[in-house]
Amino acid sequence: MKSNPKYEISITAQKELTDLLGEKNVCFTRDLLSVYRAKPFGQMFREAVNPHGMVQPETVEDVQGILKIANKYEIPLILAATMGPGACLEGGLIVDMYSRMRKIHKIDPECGYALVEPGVTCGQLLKALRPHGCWVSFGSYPPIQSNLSTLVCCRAQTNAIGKEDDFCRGIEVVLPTGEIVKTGSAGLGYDMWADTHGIPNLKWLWQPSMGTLGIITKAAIRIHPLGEVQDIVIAGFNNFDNAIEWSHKITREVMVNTSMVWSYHWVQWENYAHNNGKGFVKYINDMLTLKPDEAPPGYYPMYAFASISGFKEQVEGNVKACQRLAKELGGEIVNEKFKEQNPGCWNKWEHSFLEHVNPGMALERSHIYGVEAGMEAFTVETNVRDGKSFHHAILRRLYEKHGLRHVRYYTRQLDHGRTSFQRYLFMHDAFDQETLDREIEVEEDLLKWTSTKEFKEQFPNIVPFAPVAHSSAVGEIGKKEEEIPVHYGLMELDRRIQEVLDPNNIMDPVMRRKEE
Amino acid sequence: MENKPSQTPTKYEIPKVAQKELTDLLGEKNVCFTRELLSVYRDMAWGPWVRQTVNPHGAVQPETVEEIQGILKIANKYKIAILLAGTSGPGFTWKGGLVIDTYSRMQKIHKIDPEAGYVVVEPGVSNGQILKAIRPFGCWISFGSYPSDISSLISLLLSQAQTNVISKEEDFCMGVEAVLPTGEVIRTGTAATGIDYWSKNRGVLDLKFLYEGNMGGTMGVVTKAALRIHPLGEAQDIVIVGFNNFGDAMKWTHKVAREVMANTSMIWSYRWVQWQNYVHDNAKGFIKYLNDMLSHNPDEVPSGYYAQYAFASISGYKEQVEGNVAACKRLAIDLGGEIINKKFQEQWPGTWHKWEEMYNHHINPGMAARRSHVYGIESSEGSFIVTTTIRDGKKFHDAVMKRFYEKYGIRHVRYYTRQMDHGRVSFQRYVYMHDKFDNEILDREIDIARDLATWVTSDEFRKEHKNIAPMIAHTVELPDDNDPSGSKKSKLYYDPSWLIETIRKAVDPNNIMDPALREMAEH
Amino acid sequence: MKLKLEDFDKGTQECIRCRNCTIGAQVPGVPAVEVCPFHKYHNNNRVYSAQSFWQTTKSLLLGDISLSPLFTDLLFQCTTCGSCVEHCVFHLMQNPYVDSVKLVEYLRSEMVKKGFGVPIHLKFGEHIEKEHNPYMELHQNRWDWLPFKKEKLPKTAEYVFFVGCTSSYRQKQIAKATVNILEKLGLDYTVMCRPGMDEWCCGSPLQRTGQEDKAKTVAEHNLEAIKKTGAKKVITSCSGCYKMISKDYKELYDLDYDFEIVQSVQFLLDLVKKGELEFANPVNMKVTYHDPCHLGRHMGVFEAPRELLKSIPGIELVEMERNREYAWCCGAGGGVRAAYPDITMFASTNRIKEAEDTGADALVSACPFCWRGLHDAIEEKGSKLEIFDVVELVEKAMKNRS
Repeated sequence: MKSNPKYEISITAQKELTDLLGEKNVCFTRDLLSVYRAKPFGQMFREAVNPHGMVQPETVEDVQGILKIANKYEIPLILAATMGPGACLEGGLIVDMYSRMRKIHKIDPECGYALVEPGVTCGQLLKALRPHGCWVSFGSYPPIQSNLSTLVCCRAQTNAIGKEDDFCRGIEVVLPTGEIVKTGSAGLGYDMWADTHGIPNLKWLWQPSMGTLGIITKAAIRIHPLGEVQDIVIAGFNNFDNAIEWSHKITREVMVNTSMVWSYHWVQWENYAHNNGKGFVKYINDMLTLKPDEAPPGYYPMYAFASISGFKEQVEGNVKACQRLAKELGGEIVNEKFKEQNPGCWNKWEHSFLEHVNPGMALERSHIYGVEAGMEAFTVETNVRDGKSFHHAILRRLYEKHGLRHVRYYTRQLDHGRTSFQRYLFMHDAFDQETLDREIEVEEDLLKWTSTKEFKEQFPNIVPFAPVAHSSAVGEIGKKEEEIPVHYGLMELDRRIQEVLDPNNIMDPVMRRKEE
Repeated sequence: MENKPSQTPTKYEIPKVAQKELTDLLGEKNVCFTRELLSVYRDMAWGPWVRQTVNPHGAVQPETVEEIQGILKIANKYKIAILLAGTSGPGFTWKGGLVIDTYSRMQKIHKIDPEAGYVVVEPGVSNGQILKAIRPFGCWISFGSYPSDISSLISLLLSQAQTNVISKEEDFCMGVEAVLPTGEVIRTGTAATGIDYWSKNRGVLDLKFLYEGNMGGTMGVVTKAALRIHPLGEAQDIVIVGFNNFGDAMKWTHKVAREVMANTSMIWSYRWVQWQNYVHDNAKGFIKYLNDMLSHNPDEVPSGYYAQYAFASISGYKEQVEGNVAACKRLAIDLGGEIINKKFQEQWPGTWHKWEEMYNHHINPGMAARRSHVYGIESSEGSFIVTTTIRDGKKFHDAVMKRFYEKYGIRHVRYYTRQMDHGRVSFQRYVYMHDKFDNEILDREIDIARDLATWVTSDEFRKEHKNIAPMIAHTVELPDDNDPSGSKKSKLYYDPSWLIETIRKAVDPNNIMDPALREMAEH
Repeated sequence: MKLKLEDFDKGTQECIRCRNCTIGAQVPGVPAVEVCPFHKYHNNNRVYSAQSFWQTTKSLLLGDISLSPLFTDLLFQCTTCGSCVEHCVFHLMQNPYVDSVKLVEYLRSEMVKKGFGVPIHLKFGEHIEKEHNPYMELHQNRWDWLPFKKEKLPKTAEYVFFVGCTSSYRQKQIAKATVNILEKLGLDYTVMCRPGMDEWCCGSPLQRTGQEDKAKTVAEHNLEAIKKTGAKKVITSCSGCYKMISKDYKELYDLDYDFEIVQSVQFLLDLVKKGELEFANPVNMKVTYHDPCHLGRHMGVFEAPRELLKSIPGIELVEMERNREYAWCCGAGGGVRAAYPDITMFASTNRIKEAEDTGADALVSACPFCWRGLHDAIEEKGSKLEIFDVVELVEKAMKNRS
C-alpha cells in the first residue's frame, strides 16, 4: 500500500498508546484497518490507504493523552466518525471517536438541547428524547449516524430544518495541543450550554470540522418540541418554479419544520424502496421513457410538502395558510391521493416528517433488485430566484448533453427560506464500476460547466456545494484547484489559524496540504 | 482648566511620517492628529468610561476598502495601535492610538435581496436607513431600543446587542467582509468565492464568527456585512397578557417562543411599562410614576394593574397569524393570564404607542429618552443582565429582586425579559437606578453593579443558581483605582479568552489592533 | 444668566453619540438627510459635529484638555443653526441640559476671553463698539436707504421698525420694501434714527461669536432707545434681530422690556387677517420658502410666512424636503460667513440645489442674512432661481395700489 513512511507510528508510541488505552482499544495492524480507510461513498476508497493505527478513546482524558503522545512523536491524526470526514490518504493514526464515546450527558427540553458524545447515534437520541416530547434533526441518513458528526462536523444539509440554521449550542473540544475548551456559557463553568453574545463564538471553529483544529468530545445539539399536534400538507405541482416558490414562502414565514420539493422520480424511488420493491418495474420504465420533469398522467412532476407541528390552533392556521398559498400557485392539495399512489414514500414521509422517527435509509431495500442509487449528488445552494433558473439549466444539460432522462432531485429551504438547497442525483448502480466511472465523468463535466465564464455570467449567485464533497468524484482532493472556487482571502487566514492551534501540524496534515 | 499629565506611553503616539502617509492616503479632510479635538472618539457613550480613557492620538475616516488596507499597511509599518470607532461602541481609547472611523463615510447599502433575506451594508448604514430602504420590499430588520440612526452592522454584528433579538432567529448575519490587520481582505461564506451572493457556506469553516460580538474590534476591520432581514408578513397582530405571577408570565413567553409563533415575546414589568408610558406620552403620568416608585414594594402594583405585562408580536400569513393568536391566547388563559389588549391601550397609551410602532408596524420610533429628561430624571443605562434557562430564570428573578430590596433598599426595579433562540434562552434585564447626571448616584450604581457581579460569581450563588450566565456587565469591568492589580476583580472573563488571544495572534501577528485592550485583559 | 462649564456636565452625560445630529433622526416623519452644514462640509468628519462639542466638553470637565487655538475651527465653524438640537434624541429644545447651541456659544465666549477669538470676528466686534454695525460702515450712513429724509420720521410712534444692520447696509431693498408697505398702510411707525435714540446692531453677531459682553452693551442701548420711542410693538425684518431681541436679551442678559416684538411676516399676516392689508396685483410665481434658522427652529415661527405667501394672489408655494424645523441652514449664521465663507457657500449651494429641485421659480426667505448667503450661491451656481424676501413679494402685490 502506498503511504507516507513518515506517518508510521513508532513502536515506542504504539506502546504508550496501548498503555494509555488498553490493548482492546488500539490496533496497529494495518491490514486489519480497512474499515477506517475512507468514508463509504464514492471514489475515496480507491484513493485512500489503510491507516497505520487506530485508537478508540472513551473519555476526554483519553483524548488528551492521545494528543500528548501524537505531539510528542509528531504522529498525524485523522478523525473517524460515522460517514466522515476522514479519508486516510497517506496513513497515520485514526482516532475513532465513535465507538466508545456514546453517552448522552444531558437532555434539557426547556432549553432545547441534548449534550452528546460523538458516538451517540441519531436513533439513540431520538429514542431518548421521545419521552421528553422532543426530536432532533435528521435527514436521509440511517439512524446509526452520529448526530455530532453530521450536524456539527459535517453540517450536512440533509438534516436542515427550515426553522433553524444552527444545529449546535456549544461544544467541548480538545485542542491539538491538548487543552480542553468549552464554548459558550459552558466555558464559564455553567452546566448550561448556550451561546454567549458580545464575544466571538468559538464553536464555529469546529463547525464544520475538517478534523484539523481539534477533537470534539461533546456537543450540545439543538432539539425541537414535537408539538401538541403534527400535520403535513402535500401539494402536487406541474411547474418547478411554482413548487419551489411555495416551499420558499412558507419557510420564509416560519410556518413549517421542513418544506421540500421532491421530484416525481425521487418519490418513485423512495416509494419502491420503502414498499418492499413494489413499483420497481414502473420505476425503471419511467426512468427509460419519461423526459426530465415529466410525469405520467395522474401524477405530478413535483411533490412539495410542508411538515408542520405546534399548538393545535397554530397548526390549523399554518395548514390553512399553506393550502391557500399552494392553490394560489397552481398546486393541488394531494394528501389522500399521495398516500394511495405512493404508499412506500408516504410511509417514509409519515415517519420522517410527521412522526419524526428516522425510518432508515432507502438503501435498506433498494439494492435488493441490484440497483442502487449512486450517492454522488450535484448540489447547489443559492437563493430561490436563481435556484429556479439553475434547475432548468441543469436538467437541460443532463438530458441534452449526457442523455440522462432520469434525474432525481429534491430541494430544501434552509435558514428561514433564505437559501434553497437543491440536490440532483443522476446515476444508479454504484456497484457497477463502469456506471460509477460514467457518473464521475458527468460530475466532472458539471463542475467544469459551473466554473465557466458563461455559467458565472448566467448564474452569478450559484455556488456548487463544497467541492470537498465532490472530491471523491474527481478522484483527488484539491486536484482541480483551478476549478475550485477561490476563497476570498480566507485560505491564508485559515492556514494561520491552523498553525497557531496546531503548531506541530499533527491534525490531518495531508488534508491541510491538499487544501493549500 | 489645567492640563492633566498625559497618561499615554509614547508607543501609542503616531509618528509624523506616518501622519503624513495617512494624510496623503486619505486627504486632509479625512484625518485628524490633533488630540485635543478627538474627545468624540474617546469612549463609548454609556457609563463612566470617560474617566479611564484618554483622547486618541489620531482619527482617520476611510471611505473604501482600499483605503482601509492602506491605513493598516501604514499601521503595520509603524506599529501604530489601531482602535475602531462605531456608533455607541465599540471603542475605548484606554491609552491612545489611531481610531479608524468606518462609520462616518462608509454609508452605502450595497444590496437588498428580499428573497434571500438579507441586505449588504457598510458600517455606517443606520437601521433607520435600512428600514426605510427595505420597506418597499415588504421587509424589516431587527432593531431594539436604540435610536434609529444606530449602525445596524455594529449593533447586530459587532456588539450583538440583545435588545435587537427576535426569538425566531438567533443569527443576525449571513456573512462579512473584513480587512485583516495584515491587510488582506476576506469575505466569509459564499461571498468568499467572489460572487455577490452572501450566505453561509456550510461545507467550510465560516469565519464570520470572529467578527460577531467582537466588541474589541481586534480581528480586523469589518467593511461590509450581510444582515438578515425579515418579511413584514401579510398580517400583523399582538397579543398582550397581564400576569400577576412572574413564573407564569415566563412560561407563557417561553412556550410561545419555543413553538416559533412570535417574532418577539417579552415580559415588561409594571414599572417598565409605566416608565415608557410617560416618556412616550409627553410625560403624562410622571407623578404617578414617582409616587409608585416611592411607595410600592418590588413587583407590587396598584389594583387594576398587573405586575407583569407580556406580549407576543406575531406576523405572517393571515391564517397563520389567526392560528398563532388563538394559540397564544389559549396558552395565556391556561396559565392564569388575562388578555388585555384593549385595556392596555387605554391604561398605557404611551407604551401602547411604542409597542404598536415597534412590534406591530416594525418601525423604529426612536428612543424613549427623547422625552423622559423633561423632568430631570433619566434612567440610568446601567443594567444587570443575565441569560439563563427559563427554569432558573424565575428563581433568579425572585432572588435578585429580593437582594435589591433587602440589601440596597431599592424598591423600584424596572425589568424586562426576552425569549431568545426559539425560547431556549431567557434574557433578563434589570435596571435599578436613575438620574445618571448625578455623579453620586452613578457611583452608587457602580458599587451595586460590582456587588452584583461578585454575588453571581460566588460559589454560594453558583450552587444555588446553577445556570445563570451574567452578561458581561460593562459597568463592572472598570479598572479599579483601589485595586490596580485586579486581584479583587470579579471573574467574569470568558474562560477560553486565551484561545481567542491565540487566534488573534494568527490574525494580527504585529499586534496592532487595540493592543491596550489585550494588555489589560492579560493583566 | 451667567453660565459655567459645569452647567453643561449633565448634558455631556446625555449625549449617547448617536448620529442624529449629523445624519438625522431616521424616524418616520423626519427627512433622513444631512443635518449639519459644517459636518457635511468636513466630509462627515466626526470631529466636526455636535457630538464632538459634547465630548470635548467632557474632556474639558475632566481637565484632560484646555481650550486653545486648536479649537478655533471646531468651535467657530458651526453656524449655530440648531438643526442638531432638533434631531437630537433628547430633543434639545425641551431639554435644558443638552442644548448644543448654548454650549457652542458658551465655549466661544470662553475662547474669546482667553484671547482665542477669530480675528475677523473681533474686528467687527470692535467696529460694532465704535460704529454700531459689523459691516465696517459708518454709523451715520445707517439710514441712507430711507426713501425720504429721516427727519420725516416721528420721534415717537406706535410701532418701531427695527431695521437691522443687514437691511440697513446691504439688503436695502428689504428695508425699503418694508417701509413702503408701512407708508402705504399709513401706519404710525418710526425708525430709530435720532441721536440718543438711534438703532445699533442688535448684538446677534457679537453673541454668536463669543463677544457677549459687547452684545449686552448694545442690547442695553437698543432697549433704551426703543423705550424712548414709546413704541408698543417693534417690527424687525431680520430674523436674527428678532431672535436676539425677543429671546436672548431676556434669557442671556436678564434684560426686560414691555413692548411686543414681531418679525415682519407676523406683523403683515396679522394685518392680512384683520383685512387691513389687501393685495391688488397677483404675483404669478411658483416659490419655495426657506425657513431662516433664527425665525423657524429657534423661535418656532414656521407657518406665518407660509400663510402670508399663500395669501398673495398668484403665488404657488411648494416645499423643499427639508422644511420647517428640519430646514437646512443657509450657512451664513454664527459668524461663519465672515470667517469661513467657503462653508457658507457650501451650505447655500446645497440649499439652492434643493430649491431648484422643487421646480420653483423663486426662493423666498424672511431674513436678509439668509438672503445674502443664498443670493451669493445663486450667482456662483449660475442658477436661474430668483430670490426674494417675503416683504418684497408683499410689496409687489401691493404696488400700484391706488
